[in-house]
Formats: sequence, structure tokens, C-alpha cells
Amino acid sequence: MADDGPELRIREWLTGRRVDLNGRFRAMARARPGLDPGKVLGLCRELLPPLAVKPHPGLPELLDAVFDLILLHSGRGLIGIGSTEPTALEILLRHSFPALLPRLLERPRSLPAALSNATENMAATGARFAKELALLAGVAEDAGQLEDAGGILAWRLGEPRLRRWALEKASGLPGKLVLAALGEPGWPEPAAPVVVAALGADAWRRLGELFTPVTLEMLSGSPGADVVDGLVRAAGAGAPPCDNWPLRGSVGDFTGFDGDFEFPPILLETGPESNRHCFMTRHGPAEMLVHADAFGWSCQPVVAPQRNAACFGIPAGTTSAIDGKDYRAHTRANSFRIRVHVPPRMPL
Amino acid sequence: MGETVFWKRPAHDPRQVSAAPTLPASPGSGQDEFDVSKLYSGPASAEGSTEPPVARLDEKFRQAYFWIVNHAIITPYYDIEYNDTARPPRSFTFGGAGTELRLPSGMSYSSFVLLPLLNFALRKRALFIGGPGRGKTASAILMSLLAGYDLRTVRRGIQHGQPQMTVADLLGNPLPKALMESNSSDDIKIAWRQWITMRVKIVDEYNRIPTRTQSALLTLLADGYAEVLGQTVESPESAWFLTANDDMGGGTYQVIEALKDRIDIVIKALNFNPRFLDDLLVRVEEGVKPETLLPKELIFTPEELDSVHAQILKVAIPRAVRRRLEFFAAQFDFCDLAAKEIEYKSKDTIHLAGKTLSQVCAEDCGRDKAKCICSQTENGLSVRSLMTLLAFSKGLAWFRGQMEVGLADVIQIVPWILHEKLAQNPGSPFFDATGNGIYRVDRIAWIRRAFDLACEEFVRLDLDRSDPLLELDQAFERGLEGVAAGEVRKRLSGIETHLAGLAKGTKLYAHVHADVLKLKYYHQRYSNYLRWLTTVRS
Repeated sequence: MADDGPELRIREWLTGRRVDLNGRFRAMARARPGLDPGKVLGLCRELLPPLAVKPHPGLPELLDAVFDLILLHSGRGLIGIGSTEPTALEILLRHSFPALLPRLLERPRSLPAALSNATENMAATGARFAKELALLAGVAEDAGQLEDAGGILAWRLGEPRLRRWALEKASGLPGKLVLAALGEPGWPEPAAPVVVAALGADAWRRLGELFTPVTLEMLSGSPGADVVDGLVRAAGAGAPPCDNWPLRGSVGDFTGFDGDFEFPPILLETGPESNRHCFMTRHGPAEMLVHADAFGWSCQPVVAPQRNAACFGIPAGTTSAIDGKDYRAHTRANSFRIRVHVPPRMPL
Repeated sequence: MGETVFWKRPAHDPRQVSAAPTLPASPGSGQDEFDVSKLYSGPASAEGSTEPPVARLDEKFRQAYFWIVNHAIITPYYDIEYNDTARPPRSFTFGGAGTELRLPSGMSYSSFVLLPLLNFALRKRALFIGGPGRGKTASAILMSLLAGYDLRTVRRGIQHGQPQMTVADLLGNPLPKALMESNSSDDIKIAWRQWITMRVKIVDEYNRIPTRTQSALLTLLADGYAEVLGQTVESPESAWFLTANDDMGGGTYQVIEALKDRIDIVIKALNFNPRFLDDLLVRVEEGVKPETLLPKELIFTPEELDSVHAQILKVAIPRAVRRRLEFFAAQFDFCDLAAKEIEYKSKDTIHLAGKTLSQVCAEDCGRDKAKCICSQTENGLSVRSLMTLLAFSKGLAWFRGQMEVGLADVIQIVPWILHEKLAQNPGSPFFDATGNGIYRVDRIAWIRRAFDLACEEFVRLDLDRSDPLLELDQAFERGLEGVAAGEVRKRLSGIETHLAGLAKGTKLYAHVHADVLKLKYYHQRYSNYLRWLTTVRS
């Protein structure tokens, strides 16, 4: 039987669903009076055929879901706006969805919407998220794996609140997929559990400094389970004692430079709540909970009980300081950043 | 695609609904546990619906509250005050009577809007009191609209109290044809009034209803059914809103005590603050009628209301809070001079003897009557009042997004529940103390003060940390099955030792009276069990 071709499949779908699709358009147009029918049709012509390359039982449902996304995002002015740089959602719909087609067809209704939401939630890094999501297509074996790997990717792109969740998921995913999500697709698969153990022990570690070339080469050559286990243990071990802790991260920035602090922040006393990846801060009258690791930082305003500035062993020139068991953090009067020092570790 | 943003309206638009979440999160609320569900949730939905996503029901209630406060009822009074534990409120004292203004550091609420909402959620019976034109009926109408009734139906359903109101006016008439053709009262068909089956019931100026009609209303309000000529009709679980311009005798008829007793909560309609005249002007000029503008996303389906009720009942009341309530409640009913037997040392005994507390309390009982709360009231708290108090405390905690009731919730709700339940003993020396005269007039402040005094005493006695009955309660809750005779004797001995200690170390204060009676109860239960145990063995 001859292949009908994507255009014909799209036409059949449009004919069969005409009344419902028109109804959806009208409903969205009521909510978004600026919804342009011409633009919607143009986007449908551009974005739907690459998804209809092969017949599949889930295809009509997938087309329905993507049609809804086109209506939603076109109505909100987030796609089809003719900007020189494609928006994050345009990248997702135009490039990532065709690459992810087999996974989308597994969950044609929910997965497109979930990925669209994640791209939006990643805000400034949404475009990178959409692009790199496409790179996971060939490695993720099913839609569930893709979603989990998407979470790890989101963590790497600067959402440190996902760290704990991502590390939990990473231990259940194929090594190749974990490494691809962490931006090291070229590393040998046995490196994955070592990376997860290392980041679990200290998420201030930079992946580029984790292995010596010799170790990477050794991992590429089918190492025995005992070798990998040894590396996992070494990666998860505490840092050796050292007095001189190097600066590992500068967290936060001035609002004028896309940061969250209107005033130079100070660290607040939080007791056991505080750790090397989570600080309570005050900038001016507002308080923020800051999550941070080697991949980035995020701030969220909070209503916190009144606390004093942390000033344990405060060094000269600083406005607040925390001397934790495995980290030191301090702020300065003329800086919008929190400086974090952690014990140094040698590459494995 | 569901998208909340679609439904946002400009802040001045009366149909604008506060964006969720209406409660700011705190660091302890688990917001830092960012999980992937948050990553993948957003405006795009799997259902492809253009309707906004379904809100949590407590969130929807808060949105309803904020819509009413911001757009429907001008009530700039935040008298249900909450404070952050670590941030005490700033306060200012003004000259004159020495009035104190507090600036709450937590999210606080207007009782005139919040309490009707809680009554609506809990399906209880609220009484609005206050002068004419204060928004009592308007507030009740909004509750009906929230239940999904259209304005026309709501207006038809309001019962306007008036001196000529008959039982038939209130409940319904027999159909004339059926009346003529029926051979027995069983055959008579009644055209029941539609409001009986509504889930929100409004009775305006209930103190203008004649006494006989009040009795018919009582049956419906208390028992949930109406009766005319031997025919009955059931009413669904409903929220009741009654209004009275002056509950203290300003109506045409005296309200029957049983009807008054069924009122669960009193809501005071406060006066209009003239500094908000601008808002009134806008309404006059633009012809704004808030009751016609209720956003449809705030309307609750019957299923949602059932779910709300079930959720509220699941809110826990921790033992620490229950103990405070027990201690407070114990203060009112007790009177050492009421009876010789310990079981009858209740103000009920005095009333049954045709006397008042003020007559009995004039005699010396060895207590400081300015300090002991028992002298302040003529009566104690009924079981119904306590049940209502527990339910509304849960409701308030639920509304605030809490999983369990806090002491602050109880402190805030107590005065509104007990407003009509506690009868003051005006002769109590408490009211003669400097600065306490105001409590004869301001019942809300009086009950709040009584609760504060009870809490102060509770703390002074260190009962938070040393509950004398805790171990006994826990042992008894584990059950008697399998408890050996030796253990029972040990417990009996413990109870007796404890009673001896109390008798020697303290007067029979109200809370001690409650403890002593419970100890006697345990003693009896253990004795009976021991008797059974020894009989079976022998």
C-alpha cells in the first residue's frame, strides 16, 4: 500500500476533526481576542506535517495536542511572532518535537503539554532546554525516561531545586541518558554512576574537573565492576582535610543584571536548615531562599521568621558569614553575590 | 489549553479574582522541595481544555474571600488577627480610653466576610447582627450565589421576617384541590416553599417573626425537616444565615430561646468607615452591583461543597490545643456553691432551683471572684457550643491552608461562637475591676479576654508540660483487655494517690473539678473491670 504522505494525513485529520478544531479555535479566540486565524493556519502548515511522517494510532491525538499548543501559544504571542531569534517554544515545536516523535507518540496527549510547560518554566534557559531535549531523543528508551532525563537536564541548566530529585532519578536511568542530560554525552557509560555519586556527595563539583584523562580512558575500556565500585566509593567520600578552601561559586546578582538582589544581600542565621546548597538571605527589607550548586542558583522570596545576620567568625570586610561543616559562605558590603567556599577535591 | 492567565482581569475590574496562591509560602512549607511535577506543569494541559485548571478548594475559598473583600463588601476591618511567631505585632496606644491598635504581622482577615464563608463551608447557622444598611443581607446573598444559585432564585428564597408571617408563609400551603378532595390528612398535598430545599437559607430579620412561626422555623433549622398538616419535607444539609437589626430585644417578637440556642455563630456587621466614601462613589456612579458580578470561577458545585465539608472535618486538633480548650470550657459551668455532691456542682443546678448565679455567688466560696472565670457567667458551655467551636476551629485552620488547628485559630474563633452562648453575670467582681467595665458592653473582647485569662492560668500551672491525666488517659486509651489484676490495682492506687494529692494541695477550682470527675470515672471503670476479672478467675 502506498504511503499517503504527511500532507494527506494532516488533511484527513483536519477534515475529520474540523468541527471540534474550529470550536477550539473559537473558544481560544474568545479568551484571546488577538488570536490571528491566518497565523494559526500558517503554524499548522509548518509544525504539523513533520509529526505526520508515518501513520500511527497515536497520531491524531498528538496532532490534537500540538494544535492546542499552537492555539495557546499563538494566542499568547509566544510563537509565530516573526522575531529574528526563534523563541524557546518555537524551537521546541519546530525542532525538538519532530526529533522526539517516537516518544511523543507514546503519550500523545500529556507529553507535548508537559514539555511545553517545562520549556516555559525554564524561562531564560528555555531555548537551551528545548534544543538539548532533542539530543536526548535517541537515548531515552521511553517517554518516562525522557521526562526524568528532562528533569536532570533542567537541573544542569540552572534549576538547583531539582538536584535531589534529579540525583534520585539518575540512579534508575541508563548511564548514557544520564550523561547526555548532564552534558557529557561522549563519556563512557560506566562513568555515570561515578558522576551521580560525586554530585550526590558535593554538587559544587564541576564535571570537567571530576576525572583525569587516564580515568576516563580506563572507563572507556570496559572496566570491571570492582573498578567502577571503587570509583563510586571514592567519588562519594568526604573531601580530604585542608585549611585553604577555594572559592567555588558566586551566587546571586544585582536585579539590574538579571539577578534577584536589589541590595547587597546578607546571610541569615538558619541553624540546621542551612546547608552548602541552601541559604537564607536578606536584601533590603526582603528575604530570599537561595538554592545553589555548580550548575547555577535560584532565588525565591519567602516570608521567614525574623532572623539575625549570620556572623560566625566573620572575617574583615564581610557583612555576614557562615562557617559550616563542609562549606563557608560570606557576603560583602559592596557586592551582590554570596561567595561559597568548599573543601578542594582532587580529580579521580 | 487551560491557562490561568486568560482569566486574569485588571485589578480594578470587579470580576477580577485574586491569583492563586493567595497564601505566601514559608520556608518551612516544603517549597524548596521542587519536584519534577512543577517542572512539567503550567499553562498547557493534557486535557486540551480552555477552562482554567481546577483550584484546590481551600484556595478557591480564599479567592472567594478576597473577591468579596476587594470588590463586593467594603469592610476595611481586619479583626481576625494572626501574627508570625517570630514577629510580634507593632502596637500603638491612643489617648482617651487607652485604645490599642495592633498591626498584625501575619495574614489577617475581616470577620464580617470570613465567618459567613466558614459558616457556608461548614453548613452551620449564622446570625448577622448590626444596624440597618450594614450589608448583612447582601453578605448572605453572596453566600447563596457562591452555592451556584442565580440571583432571582436567591431573592425569591429569602424569608423576610414580619409580624404577620404565618407558618404557611414560611413553609408552604396545602394545595386547595387536594385539600378539598382528600379524605384524610395523609392525602393532603402541600405546595412546599422552594427555599426549604436550597443549600443556603436566608431568613431576614428573624426577630420580627411571630412566636408560633418561629417554632416552625426551629424544626426546620434544628432538625432539617418541615411539617405542615402532618406532611413533612426534608431539607438538605444547609448553611443558614439569619439577620437581626438588634438581637437584644429590638425585634417585634422575643426570639424563642431554643431558636437562639441553635445559632452557631454570631457575625457582627460593623459600621461604614467614611474614609472609604470614594469606593461608594464609584458604585453610585458606575451602578456597580457586586451580586451581579460574581465571577463564575468562584461558584461551588454541590459536590465541591460536600468535598469541602469532608476536608474540613479531617483537619486535626492536636492534644495541646484540645487541652487548652478543655481547660477553658471547664471554667464556666462549675460552681462550688451549687451543690453538695461533686457531680452537681454545676450552674444548671442553680437554674433548676430557680435561682441565678449572682444570688449564689454572693456567698463566700473561698475563691478570688475577680480572678476566677467561673464567676463571670450565669451558665456553662453546652455540648452543642463545644461541637460548633471544634468545627469552626477546623474550618478556620482549613481556610488558612493548615493541616491542623493551632491555638491562634481557637483564640480567634472562640468569641464569635460563644457570643450568644455565654450569659454574663453582671454582678461578678471581675467587671468592677479597673478597665473591665468595657467587657459588659463588648462581648467579643470579654470572651477573648476570658480565653486569654484561661490560657495564662494554664501556662502558670505549667499544664502544657505536666498534664496530670496524660499518662492515665494514654493507659486507658490502650484498652483494658489483657490488663492484669496487679496492673489494675496499681492504676487504682495511682488514681487514689493523685486524688489525695489534689485534695491536699489545691482548692476545687473549675479545672480541678473536671480532672477529679475524670479520675473518679477512671477509678470506677478500673474497679468494675477488676471486679469482673476477679469474679471470672474465682
